[in-house]
Amino acid sequence: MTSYIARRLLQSIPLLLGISVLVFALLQIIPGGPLGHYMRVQGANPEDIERIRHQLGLDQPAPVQYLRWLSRWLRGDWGKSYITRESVRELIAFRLPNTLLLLGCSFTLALIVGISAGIVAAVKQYSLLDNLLTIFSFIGFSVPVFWLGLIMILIFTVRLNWLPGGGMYTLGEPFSLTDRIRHLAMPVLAAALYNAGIYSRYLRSSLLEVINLDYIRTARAKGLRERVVLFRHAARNALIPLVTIVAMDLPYIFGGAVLTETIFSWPGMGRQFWKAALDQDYPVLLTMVMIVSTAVVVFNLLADIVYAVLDPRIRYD
Amino acid sequence: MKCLSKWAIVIFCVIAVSLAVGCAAPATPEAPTATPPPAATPTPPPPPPTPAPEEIPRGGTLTMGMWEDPGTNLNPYFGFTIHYWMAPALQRLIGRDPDGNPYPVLATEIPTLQNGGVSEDGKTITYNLREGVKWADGEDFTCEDVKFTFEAVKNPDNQVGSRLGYTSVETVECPDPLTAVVKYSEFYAPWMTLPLFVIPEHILSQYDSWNDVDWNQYLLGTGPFYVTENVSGDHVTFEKNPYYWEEGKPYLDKFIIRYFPSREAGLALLEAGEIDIFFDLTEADMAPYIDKPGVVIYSAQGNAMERLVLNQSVPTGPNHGNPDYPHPILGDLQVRRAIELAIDKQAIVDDLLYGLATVATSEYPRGWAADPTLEPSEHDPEQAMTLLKEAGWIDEDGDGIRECHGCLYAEEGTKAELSLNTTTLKLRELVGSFLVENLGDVGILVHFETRTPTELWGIWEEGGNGTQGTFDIQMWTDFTPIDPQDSMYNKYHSSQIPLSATECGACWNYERFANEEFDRLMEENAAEPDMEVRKENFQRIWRIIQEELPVIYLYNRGQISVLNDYVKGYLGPWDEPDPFEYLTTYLQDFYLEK
Repeated sequence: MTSYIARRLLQSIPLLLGISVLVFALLQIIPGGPLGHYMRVQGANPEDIERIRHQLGLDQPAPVQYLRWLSRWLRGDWGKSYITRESVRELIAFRLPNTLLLLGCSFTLALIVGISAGIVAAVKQYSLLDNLLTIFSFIGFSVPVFWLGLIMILIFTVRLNWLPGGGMYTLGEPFSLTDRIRHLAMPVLAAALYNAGIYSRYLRSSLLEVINLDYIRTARAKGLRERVVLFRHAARNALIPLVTIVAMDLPYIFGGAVLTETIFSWPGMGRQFWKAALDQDYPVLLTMVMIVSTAVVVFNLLADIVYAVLDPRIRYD
Repeated sequence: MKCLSKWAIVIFCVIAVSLAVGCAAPATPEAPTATPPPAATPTPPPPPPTPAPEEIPRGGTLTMGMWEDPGTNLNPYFGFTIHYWMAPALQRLIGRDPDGNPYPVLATEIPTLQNGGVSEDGKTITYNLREGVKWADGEDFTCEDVKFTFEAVKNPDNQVGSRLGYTSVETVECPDPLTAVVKYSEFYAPWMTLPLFVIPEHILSQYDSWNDVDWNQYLLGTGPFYVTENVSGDHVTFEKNPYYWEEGKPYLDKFIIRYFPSREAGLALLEAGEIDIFFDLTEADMAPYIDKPGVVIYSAQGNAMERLVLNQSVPTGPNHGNPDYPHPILGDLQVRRAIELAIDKQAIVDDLLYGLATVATSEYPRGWAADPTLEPSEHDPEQAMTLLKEAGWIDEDGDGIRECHGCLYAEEGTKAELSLNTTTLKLRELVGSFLVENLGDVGILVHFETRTPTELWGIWEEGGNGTQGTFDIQMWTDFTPIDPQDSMYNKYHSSQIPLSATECGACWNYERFANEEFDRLMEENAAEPDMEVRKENFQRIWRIIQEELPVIYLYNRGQISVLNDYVKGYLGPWDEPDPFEYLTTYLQDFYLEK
């Protein structure tokens, strides 16, 4: 197993390099560019634009620009935003924890709710409870998060005044856990609903598949309690497809949820990613892409390891 | 049998539900005329009487929401970012009142030819500086700061957005701590606009360059507040400057700017009282706030106006953008006049902008160089149709769209079809469909298409339609600074027509406007120290544009904010909003009445 992991990690290095080349090339092809930000409507005149072009190194040929970026990046100098001149490292150092907090909580909530709902729905198939849970799941992944977010603000902040309508904490006050939780409540709920809906559907159908197989009937015939049958035998196999999906979703907690962060004024990666994409702010974009790509590679590897844990038939040499 | 009927019911239900949902959704977007206009143009509330200084309640925190986040770097010279954030902390030598006339801020009087502040050749400006002004850390403000500011902007090691004007400054001398003598190598007509803000020499001179200094995040100036907290993408906190030079001010203790990337969420918080002001909204956002109790709409009408930019060169083919190849339809002045007559500008202002704007007549409606006698165009579709017919655009095949029959530049039979491009903004889409209707009524078919900012305004090599001249009509807002010299030159002088990626590829004359009288007047103004002569020339220039129509002005934009009504003093020393400064320029006068 260890050699397998080591091999996978080594393979990921050329993969990540390839991703960076691809993204860099795509950015060159897309019309526009960071100079597009310095538009006439803001008062930029031609001499200034030329000067800035030279300063940002954009007058160099693309491969040269790429190699310069790469050599700096590997040494830890992630560059500065073309637009705001902030250090990319500081920008991300600030925003990444915020996004991890928000989306980490929301994924955890989505998993807990999704798995529970899926199991209950499968066990009590076709009952009223199952139908209700199905309806809620569909609502969960159909409702657009920006609409839901605004409605929540309208109800809970403006009308009822129960919860704050944005930001991470109340300004000017010392750190308070309840304050943070109150600020987290709505965005986490809004972001979790979609995933909770999806996970519950997947788990329900995969559990239903497993529950009718022979070995489950054997386990029951052996006289085992239903709970043991369910969690010890059925769930382990039902979870495998879910692991795949969660592994694909988890890297997003590094990339941020743009809509949720926009509605709830949460200073996170998603919003920054969107802004950088619009402004064609290469240093920020490239660094964020590298971070999310690394997360994808790592989580896929973790998923493969989890498969091996869950299913003894799966072994790597 | 049982199974079949159960399935039939299921399928029937699915079809029924989807039909119901599909039919319930509106088929076409709401037409502009469907929105009932407010009963009358809302009159602005009378300015509250200024209470005596002893009666003004002191203390408190003012929170302002804005949707634009400039990053943590607040140095005003770095890029082209808008300067609202710096206004509470930094100040300048000369400010502008609501009429656009200069008034002294850190200077004690405006230098003029008459008082000797401006030399005969206009190249030496002497400022008398205000005594008793201190930076927020207690140091005195002196001429050294003014000198340092000019030199810092010119310093090639410093990251600077635009050096326009500063490059003409030769030296700054300090004969005494309260006198600054600025010598220009060549006359720079808009000298009054420099420097943008004065920065502290005693803090910044110790660094080789200002590129990475902490001061960029923690602005400290001569203004009423200074930055104590700057959290990326979230908020900026300002605290009161204990050494501020205006006696007894500021009244507030703290000022916080919070960023709300979603305007809707921010406005909801304004209602909930979590924020006190929401800054920089559009007229279209104002509908729920007109006549709403507890809320005040602040609209500063300055020199920003939405206009139609008309390409006078051919938009397609190998000669696109070349001024020697006129646009088949828009190249003819008669056609441009007809288009303007077909547009009902007043209806746009009344119905789509809730009367919060005014019809635009020129590039410069307010200020020292404005001409208040300019009249807006008439809405006269009959006359438009006559002009089009005379210009050789006649609808012979009866399909409602005119074709060229003996017109000036197009080939016989060419249809009068134009594309109108603008950004994706709800208000612009509404105005766009309104214009499509107006022009359709006189026989011109207009296709409304949205474009990205890069497509509209990008430089030639990035494929910008404006620079390349590959457009018919663009619609967007441009503004004119208080001294229109550079702006008007860059926008309309014949030397500023983009010809290729390397020849003026980033220039601004998208219209391909080339008028000899305009060129001559602009060149005269660049060298003329007498403001009266320049003013006369500019007034003639506004008329030239009205006559030649490289652009059609639609409506003046205001800088709009919404405030809860317990926020007072926001007009500063004036009776009306000052469009030439920022809402936060007068933060020292704000107070809360709760």
